[in-house]
Amino acid sequence: MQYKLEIQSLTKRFVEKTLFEDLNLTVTGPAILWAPSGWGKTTLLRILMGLEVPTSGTVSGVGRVGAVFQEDRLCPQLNAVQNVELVLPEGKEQYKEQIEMDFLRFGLDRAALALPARKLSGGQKRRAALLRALWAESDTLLLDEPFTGMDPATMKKAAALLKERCGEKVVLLATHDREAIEELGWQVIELG
Amino acid sequence: MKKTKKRLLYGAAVVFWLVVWQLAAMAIGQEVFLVSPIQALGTLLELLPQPEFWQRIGFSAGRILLGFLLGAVSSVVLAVAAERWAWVEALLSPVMQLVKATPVASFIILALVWVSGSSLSILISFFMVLPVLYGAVRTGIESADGQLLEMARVFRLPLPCRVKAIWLPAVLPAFRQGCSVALGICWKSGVAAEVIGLPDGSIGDALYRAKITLSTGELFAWTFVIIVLSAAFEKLFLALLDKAVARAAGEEW
Repeated sequence: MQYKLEIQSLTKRFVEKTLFEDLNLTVTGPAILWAPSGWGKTTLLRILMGLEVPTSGTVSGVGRVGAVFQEDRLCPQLNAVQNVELVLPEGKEQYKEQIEMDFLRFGLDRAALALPARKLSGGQKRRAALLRALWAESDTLLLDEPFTGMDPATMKKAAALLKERCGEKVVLLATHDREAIEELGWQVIELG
Repeated sequence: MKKTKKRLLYGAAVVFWLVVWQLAAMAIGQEVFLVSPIQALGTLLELLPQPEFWQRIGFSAGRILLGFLLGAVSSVVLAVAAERWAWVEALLSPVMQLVKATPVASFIILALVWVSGSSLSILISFFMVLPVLYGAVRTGIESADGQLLEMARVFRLPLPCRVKAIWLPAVLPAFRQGCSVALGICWKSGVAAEVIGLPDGSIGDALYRAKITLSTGELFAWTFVIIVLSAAFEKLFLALLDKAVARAAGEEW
């Protein structure tokens, strides 16, 4: 079933500031969300994740969400593979090898995979957060600056993996990275 | 190397105080007021082969630890309930304050009205442990990472996964700290309850008998036994808990 994410007349206002007003948006495939800093991209993604309540308006068609948050949000005591396994349904053991292969392909060596997440570098944590989102069972992917802390070569690998895994899935990826936008070649939704 | 030096220093300090004790006992020269460490050790060695000595240990340790375990389980259940429902927290708050502030002697005398002497140490250990571990578990729950909890919500992690990956790593260190304190308290208060309730065959009963017969050597020997038992159970329990913490920390995920 093809999901269609619909945002209707969405407004988010804080006491002293209005982030966005009367926002209408329909997303049917992978798209990049581009907006100036402070526009409220993270807040919009949080609303779509169900973590924030909008001041007014509605969102529909989100379904199950796979997410990369602004922060990595990995369980610090678990290693990268265990963090991915955490979001998998029962029988996670059967995917362990595949997940490890993904990490190896993504530039994390066996030594890094043995470390708890708290000992990984910023870029390694970001890769783990991204793979967790890709492995989770989801109808919509919401990715907030997923390339933060990655060098250009790793970003290219991440972009390639995203294109390969997402297909025509509904994806909203917030980024300021022009290179990443070009690399992905997805529809760009410019806001603000 | 540093550890060995620290241990040597600690050993030297213990020897120093034993010498001070021996000299003080020799200076006083009256066994009733102060026995020497050598005399206390002699009394302990006399007690060791007696079956009654071990029966008393079994009697008291069983009851005090039962009180501790009941207190530990109840405190976890109540702390989780208080975290989940504000009315439970409001309801428990004055009770915990009251239990914490009430002198243990008042508690023991009051409890004697409700239960028999032989069950007294269970009840007293339970009440002494409850507020300490309740507070520790609450602190642990409150320290759980809010961002990880949001992540769990977004990815719809099932409850057992949330407990294992987020709640346990947050709660176990605080719970461990609480157990270390609570185990010491429950031995002290449990034996105090036995001294007042005088259940036959308990350590408290032995302490009381030593007091009325002016057997200061026995008093010291039993006190030493209580200290050793308290330390041994604390070490054993914390070792088991550490294994659980390591497991929750991902080593055996």
